[in-house]
Amino acid sequence: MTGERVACLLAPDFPVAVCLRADPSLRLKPAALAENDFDAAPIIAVNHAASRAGLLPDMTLAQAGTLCPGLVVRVREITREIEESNAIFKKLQRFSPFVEETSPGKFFLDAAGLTLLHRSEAAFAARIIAAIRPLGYPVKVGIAKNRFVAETAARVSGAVPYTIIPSGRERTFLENLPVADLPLSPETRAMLHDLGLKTIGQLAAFPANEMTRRFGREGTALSRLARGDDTDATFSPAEPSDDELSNEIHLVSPIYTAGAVTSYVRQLLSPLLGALGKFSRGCGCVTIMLELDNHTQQNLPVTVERPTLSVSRFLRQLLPLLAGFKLSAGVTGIKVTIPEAATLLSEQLAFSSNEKISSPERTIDSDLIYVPQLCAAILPEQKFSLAPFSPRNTDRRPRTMEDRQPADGLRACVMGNVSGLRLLQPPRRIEITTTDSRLREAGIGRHRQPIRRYHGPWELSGGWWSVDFNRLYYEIQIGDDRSSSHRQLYLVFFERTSSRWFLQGIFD
Amino acid sequence: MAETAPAFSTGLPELDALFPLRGIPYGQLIEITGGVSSGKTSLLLKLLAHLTRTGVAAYIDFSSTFFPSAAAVSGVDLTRLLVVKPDSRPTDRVKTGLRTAELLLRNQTVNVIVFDLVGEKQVLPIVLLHRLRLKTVRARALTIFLTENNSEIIPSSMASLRLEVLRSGSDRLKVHLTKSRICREGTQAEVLL
Repeated sequence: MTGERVACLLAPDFPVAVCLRADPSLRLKPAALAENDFDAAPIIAVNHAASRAGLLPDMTLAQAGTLCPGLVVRVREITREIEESNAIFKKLQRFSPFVEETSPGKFFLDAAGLTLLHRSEAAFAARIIAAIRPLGYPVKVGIAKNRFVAETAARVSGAVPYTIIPSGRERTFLENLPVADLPLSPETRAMLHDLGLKTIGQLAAFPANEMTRRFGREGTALSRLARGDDTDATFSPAEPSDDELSNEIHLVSPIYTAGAVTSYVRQLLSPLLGALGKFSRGCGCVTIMLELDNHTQQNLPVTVERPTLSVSRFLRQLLPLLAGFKLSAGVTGIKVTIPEAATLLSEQLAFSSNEKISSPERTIDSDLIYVPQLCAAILPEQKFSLAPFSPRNTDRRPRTMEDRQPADGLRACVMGNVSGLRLLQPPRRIEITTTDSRLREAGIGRHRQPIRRYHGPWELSGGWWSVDFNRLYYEIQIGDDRSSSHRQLYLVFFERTSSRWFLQGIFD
Repeated sequence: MAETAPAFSTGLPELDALFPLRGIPYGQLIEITGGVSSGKTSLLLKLLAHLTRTGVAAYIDFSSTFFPSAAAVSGVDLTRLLVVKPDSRPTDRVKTGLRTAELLLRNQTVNVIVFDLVGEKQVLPIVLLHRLRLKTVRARALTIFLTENNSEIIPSSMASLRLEVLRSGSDRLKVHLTKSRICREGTQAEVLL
């Protein structure tokens, strides 16, 4: 296998699956899932029995109740969905070091190179499914060169548990699928219909520049997706414009309930996060501004634990805010703003080999990577510092003569080679036995051992203006003196101010 | 990558002579092992000194004992060295280190990655090692594991070369090739630091 490979694990109708798992008896009754239990609330999903009774998603509960009087209605439990999704996420981390959850029930795994472990991608997919099945979710897996094709493969796989699209066959796989399988806005879908473009293959054959002229950036992205090239569309280095980071609605008649506000926030937030996903970005905070009919405004900042594209995660945080928030007047307008796009899932690394980073700190957390710099100091542990990596300080050169001679204080070493010194930070407390000012035994490790040879002392003192120190340094050798291969050489010091022995380093 | 030669010269002629290409071929996972004070760190820093003349190295300091002053004395160009401190994530430091290494290799930021695993007890996850090997091959880089004798934290199938270091004098080391997929096993060289 060559090149990048992405696996998508999809739990179809995840909200319904979570509900059915909690109450398996619903499988036999006509049941529907809704955002809330108001009569005007739209149905999100229905089970097979309800579907046979003529119920469809997007019907209101009032309409559904009329058609099917015995209908069981369950309100969507966002918290449970997130918990269940987290459980799947943890299982998937066993299979790939890079797992991303773009929304509850939808996961992407970096599958490059894993055939070394699993023989084939089919075996890899089968093992993922076998691992998730005990959790009670009928999942589908798609493996392809990029995210869009992998997700589509998982979604359209039908009764087959997994679908694998070999690299180079993306366009062939997509060409007979309907254009509705592309991420389209309703307006674009209508225009494509008017143009007579029904399948993705037809859209792929449509000139790309014409798609751009008619549909702008969305047309460019669609054209690439239709050709099976998801790289630019998903991992675009461009930043979303300000227009793509806010969305608002003005209501004809005021609303007074938290449930209704939540429903509108969902409608406004979904396209914003969808657009953000095209830039491979997420967000960790959104601001919800409510316009009230007494001509005042209320701002509700909603933050989540990590940058995400999941609307549900924001709604889970919003619900308690609204519960504690008394609507003093009717809400006449809602504006949802994303203050800042963030790197998606900061603890994970974006898995696009095409993204050549000139500065690793963009994707590696800055608290991990450092550039060593030498300092003019007396104590060994102060002779260097580790500066957080930045392209600016990589070219830094020693500036003073003292910097150029960093180990002067240690050049007196005679037994050990200073070039192989491993420094313990902070120095470790040890016990050394002395007799008549001669070093006899050292307690390094589990047992006390006789000191075969030693050199020293060399004195380092000073620092009365900050931290007083007065050290007597020794190099000691323990272990078998006859065989150089069993000698152990250490740098130790006696701190006069505290009358204690410390292990400073190991010559290796 | 700046290097176009098929192999990386260690800068130690006696060691280079053990390999048919007069150096270690790129894309290998190498384990340097030895007891306390055996000279394994000295050897590693000598290799890094030669490599940082032309490339960039990353030192993943699991043991938190890396001493930049000693590296500078050995000739390592510190301006071409990145130090990764996975200790800032104590709960998952091994995985953090491996993932960071993989990302650095993937983006061809460095030519060599060093894992200082002296004193480390946790066995490295084989899944991540497989991926690391793949990235090392693709990036035409070298990955070096520095371990203690008999630590067995690197599964034996993973390293293509194991160098066991013994001190034979204050500035001389014996380097045994106890495992090799790229040259004859069992050979040894005596190198001068």
